[in-house]
Amino acid sequence: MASQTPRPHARTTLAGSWRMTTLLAWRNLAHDRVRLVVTLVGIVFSVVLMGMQTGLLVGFTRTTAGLVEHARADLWVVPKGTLDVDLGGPLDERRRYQAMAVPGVARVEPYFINFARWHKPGGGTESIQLVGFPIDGTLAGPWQLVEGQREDLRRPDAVIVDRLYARKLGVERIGDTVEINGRRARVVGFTQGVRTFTQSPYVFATLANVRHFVGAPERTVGYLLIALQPGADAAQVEADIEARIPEVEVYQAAAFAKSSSDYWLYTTGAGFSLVISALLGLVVGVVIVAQTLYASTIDRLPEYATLKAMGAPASYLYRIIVTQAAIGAAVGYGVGLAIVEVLVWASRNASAAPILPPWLAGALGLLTLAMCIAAAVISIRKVMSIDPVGVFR
Amino acid sequence: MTAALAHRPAEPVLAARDIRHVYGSGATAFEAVRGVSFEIHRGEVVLLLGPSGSGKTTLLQILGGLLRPTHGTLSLLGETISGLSLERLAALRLQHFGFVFQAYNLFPTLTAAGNVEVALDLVGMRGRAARQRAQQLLEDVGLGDRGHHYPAQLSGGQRQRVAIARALAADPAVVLADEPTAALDSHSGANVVSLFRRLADDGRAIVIVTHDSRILDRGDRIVEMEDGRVVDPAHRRHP
Ligand SMILES: Nc1ncnc2c1ncn2[C@@H]1O[C@H](COP(=O)(O)OP(=O)(O)OP(=O)(O)O)[C@@H](O)[C@H]1O
Ligand SMILES: [Mg+2]
Repeated sequence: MASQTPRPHARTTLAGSWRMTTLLAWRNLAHDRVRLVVTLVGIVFSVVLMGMQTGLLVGFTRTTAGLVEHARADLWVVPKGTLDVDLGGPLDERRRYQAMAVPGVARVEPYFINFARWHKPGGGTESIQLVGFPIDGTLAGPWQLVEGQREDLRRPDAVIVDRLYARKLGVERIGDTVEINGRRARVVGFTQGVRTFTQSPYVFATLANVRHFVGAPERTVGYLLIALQPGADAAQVEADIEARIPEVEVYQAAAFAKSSSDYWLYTTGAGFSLVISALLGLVVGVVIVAQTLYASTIDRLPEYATLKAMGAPASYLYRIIVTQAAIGAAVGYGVGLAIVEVLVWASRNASAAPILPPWLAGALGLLTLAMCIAAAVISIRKVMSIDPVGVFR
Repeated sequence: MTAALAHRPAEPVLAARDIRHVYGSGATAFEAVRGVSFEIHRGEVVLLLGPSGSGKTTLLQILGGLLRPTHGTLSLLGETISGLSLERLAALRLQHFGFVFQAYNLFPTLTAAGNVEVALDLVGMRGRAARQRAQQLLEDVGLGDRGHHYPAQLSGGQRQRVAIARALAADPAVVLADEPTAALDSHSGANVVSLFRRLADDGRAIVIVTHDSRILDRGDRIVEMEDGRVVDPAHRRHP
């Protein structure tokens, strides 16, 4: 073992390798299987809770904004004070001509959404939301049609409902007849996956039929949908319409979608409770991981003290602990995400379905990592306080 | 085993001058070391003796750069190190000091070879080179065939020899041991002591704190402490 002993003051960077700290971290985890399982269960629980709650939040956001997002309107003209697409007051259709006169407007179509009572064929009633649009229009109509055609709505009394709510509405197939507000209606098609947040299913019909079902006077509409000419300045058109028609407000589509979601999620508290549950998952995760990681660190204090006495830099010890946390995060996230994906798949036909878009899955991963590293803080503080002289006592 | 320690032979490896150490302050202040001076040269095995509470461990911690004395200077290879920051002291320990503990302090989740490789990793030796050197160090302590064993699978004497192999990873100039044989039977203890003897013959300075009367005749020099002072600074050379 011949070597040159360096002069004591020669500076060298001695940090140790990630390979070794990772090995130590892994061995620390694997050494106590029970604790590892508890840690992973905690992380998985947390990932599943956070994933499902935020997934539901995304699902509800899409559901509550669905009517707006699936219309091809650039602007929505709504009665003043309207916050949500499901709850719009009536407008006079003559406003349409005023809106059409505004420079930059290419097209104006009426849209009419109204609650009604649905009498099931076998008896019993359900609350529904009729969605009426001009059959010759191009800006709105049913989406995700799986049976029947939009054109079938031209037939007398024709309506289209969603498969998710077929049982609830007591219908099974095209041709089933029901009553809406006491007037005969006939199912001519089905959509698949058009959810409603209010639990009153959307029932699509022509504007004329909706007026007929609810007994609304001719010229009554709910909204005016506006398509802009290419290159038109949306904000300018919005201001111009508001200036010309005093009793309306104009939203750009994205803003109205957001307003509708915010209305249901935050005004009603539904979103708040989802966020709280997700935070709860986060807190539970932090507590469990912090707890088990700390216990493992306490078990290993003599080893950390030995490393310090040998001269290992503090970063070497932190790396071991943070790597333990990161390994837990990675494995827990992997398992948790798989469970969330299965649950999302299993509830795809439920009336309230969580959605896990890739950005959310990614954010969940980062959150899990942040959670585990935050949980490592008390362990790091503990190791920081170790006095290496303790090894010689 | 040959160690070419690059310093003038006459220069002590470690020199302590008027070391004092006070624990606590005010009414609870206690002076555990009260003015100790001595030098350790390469090739020497110094045994540090004394009754319990006489300050042996405190002095050893100071000699090893683990504890900064409240007074006095410590020089390593001719350079004063007692005023350095804790970070610099840690770096010095890594390169120049090997520590051996009564309780071995091995990493139980790593094999014997793994324990040595951690120390090698800390001084920047990785991969194949590290594995080969770990094997060589284990062979040097007579455990060439135990590299894959975990500490729990080794006897006390074998564990202490793994700890010594680990302490030698960076080829340190000084090896400090506190009661290294206290937990060992006489055969294993003798084994470990002759290992220290060999390390000294290779040019290292060895300081052993001990109560173990079985090893008193194996040192080059005995430094006896009482109430924080060295009682009899006379050198006692053994053949
Ligand atoms: N961290 C500390 N704080 C306060 N007093 C301490 C501390 N460490 C040691 N002492 C005191 O300093 C004195 C010397 O302690 P030290 O551990 O150096 O003795 P020792 O000679 O190693 O004893 P032993 O043979 O029992 O190991 C003792 O009286 C002890 O109580
Ligand atoms: Mg002691």
